[in-house]
Amino acid sequence: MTGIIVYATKTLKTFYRRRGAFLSTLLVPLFLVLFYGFMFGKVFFGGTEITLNIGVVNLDQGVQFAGNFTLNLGEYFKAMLLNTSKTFNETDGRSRFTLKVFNYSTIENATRAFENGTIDGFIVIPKNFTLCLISNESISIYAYGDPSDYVKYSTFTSICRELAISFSLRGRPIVGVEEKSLTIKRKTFTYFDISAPGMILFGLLFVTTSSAHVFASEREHKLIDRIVMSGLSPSEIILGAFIAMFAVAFLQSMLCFSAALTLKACMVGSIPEAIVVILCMAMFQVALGLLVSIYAKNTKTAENIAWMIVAPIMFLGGIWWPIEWMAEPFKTIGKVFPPSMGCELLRAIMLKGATIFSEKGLITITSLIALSIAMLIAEIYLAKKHIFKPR
Amino acid sequence: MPAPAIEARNLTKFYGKLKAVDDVSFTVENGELFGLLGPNGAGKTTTVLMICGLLKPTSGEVYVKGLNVQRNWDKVRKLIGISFQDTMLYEKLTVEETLMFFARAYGLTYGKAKENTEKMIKIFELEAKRKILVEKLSGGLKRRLHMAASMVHDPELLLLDEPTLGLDPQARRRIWDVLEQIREYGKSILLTTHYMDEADRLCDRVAIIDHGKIIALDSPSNLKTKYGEGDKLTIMVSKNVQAVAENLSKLDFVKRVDINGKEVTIVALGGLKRLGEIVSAIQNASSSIENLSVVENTLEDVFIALTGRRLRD
Repeated sequence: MTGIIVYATKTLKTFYRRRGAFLSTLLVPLFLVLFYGFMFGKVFFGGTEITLNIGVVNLDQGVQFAGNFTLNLGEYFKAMLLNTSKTFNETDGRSRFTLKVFNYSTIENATRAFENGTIDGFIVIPKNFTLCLISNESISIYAYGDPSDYVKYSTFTSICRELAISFSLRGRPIVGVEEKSLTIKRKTFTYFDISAPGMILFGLLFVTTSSAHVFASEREHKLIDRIVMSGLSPSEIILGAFIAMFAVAFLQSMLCFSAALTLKACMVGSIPEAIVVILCMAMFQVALGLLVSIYAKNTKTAENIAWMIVAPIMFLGGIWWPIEWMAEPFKTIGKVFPPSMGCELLRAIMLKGATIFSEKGLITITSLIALSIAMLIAEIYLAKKHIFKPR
Repeated sequence: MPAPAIEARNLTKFYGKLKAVDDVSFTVENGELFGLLGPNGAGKTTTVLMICGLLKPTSGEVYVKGLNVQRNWDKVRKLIGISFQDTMLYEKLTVEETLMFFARAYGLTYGKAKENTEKMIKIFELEAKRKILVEKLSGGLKRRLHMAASMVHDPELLLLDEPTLGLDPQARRRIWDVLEQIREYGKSILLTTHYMDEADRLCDRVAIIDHGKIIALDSPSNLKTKYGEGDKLTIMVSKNVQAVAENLSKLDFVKRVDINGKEVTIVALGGLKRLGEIVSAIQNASSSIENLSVVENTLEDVFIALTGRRLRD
């Protein structure tokens, strides 16, 4: 363990003092995040304020009582929504929502308005709404929206649920909310929202090239024999280098992630879960760089090999744009790269609120960790075979 | 009886068809400073690399402290401190950090590493530079640090491959002073060099190596007594120059006698050691010495005598 710490400390110190390499590894990705954030994010688009247009279709037929008195609780519900729109001025720390309500007589009309972008979602109050409630039966309203427009969709459905709960609190049986997904593609994210997850991971590609330098540099400066003759074992130098470069990767990716959040990149899912994905990606990229480092004879070769690996990941692995945007053959190629899984998962967490605890999330996380460990084991084996052996 | 520091048995190394080391055998005793003297490409570095285990001999065996290097490499590595021919240091570490890194890498506790680091800084006179980055050091200081780093873990055996290569005379002399200081600690040292004066001044015994073969092995003074032209003594005598020359030429160890005015020049193997006999021969000719100058036989002369060419050819 001492050997690992000693080697890690040495690697960190020497890397930190190579100011050019250190600063470019940390600052180039950060600069890109800041540039894209200001250029394409919400900061200069008044984007802190989001207008949410909700349609209401009240199909409730009400219940007629003696004396021609008709009770229509659907209208009450609608009135509550209108009332909410007057007072709704919510701030969630990043965005401010302004709510507007539109009335539609039929679902078809509301759907058309949704399709042409007039409204962001609509509520359908069923025709037996009042009847069920006065008969003490529970009933659901229907919330139609586009889940891919996660920011608005999640706000819309949460308003529906809050209304349903407040309606229930008035002494009536519980009103449920049934979400209805409308699969109409409408781009509502800024370019920065979409590119931010990839950009955070893009910085880790720099760490891959820096990691590729570690042993290549030792070899180039003929220090490798000196290391071999010291008491350090192959596993100590591999794990020491891994810890040092992982610390750099952690610092760099957290800087980029924080910058992206500060510049209001869309963050729908859980921040800690996003960090877990980033760290798994950091592990993978560092281990990949060290693998190159074991083979490369000098830093120039290490850099060339590293970029040959990193470039396809950058363009096909979902870093600059989502894989689903790419043409079919490229999509298939892109999915081959393990980092693309991590990139897509991070994008899904940030844009769609996906979770690492889903089946896909767990597979991605497990794969990245397993591959990183496999690479580290391979590196220790290769170091024993090629470095720590008489020539 | 403790095992010798190094025992090389019939070491041979081929690089492809080139025989770099040819059946080399020697022993370095504990506490001895042993020199491998030879021109560039003679096989010195290859021999050192085989001793430390970085290079596998094509045939033959090496033992360090009785341990077969090939079979016990992990143990042997910790017994050895090696200073390679090229200065191998981390440019971005300070002097102190470099020494601490190597001390800790050899498994020394923090306290012991600190203590040894301080000791090395003192021995190698690096106090004023302890916080300076290696990249800012001069060649001589780098070389000193390089050597300090190789012995900071207090190894039993020190392998120094051309420790003064490329240094100016002043820096070389400082390294020599340090080496003389270190030998007082009783360390066994194997030193390779192609500087005859270095081998002559520092080594207890010297193996002269050429084309991968050891061609002579003995103490520097014995080598100088056995091989080469011999010491050249130029004696100015008071009178009877001819008689003095005659008497001197009768001495069996004198190889040549020349007369130049009142000066008699003799060339004799081990002439300096037998100065008493020379003085007697002069007195027997009823003369006395007015002035004496000596040019000592050198290891360079030994090398020329053994190989027919100069050490740096």
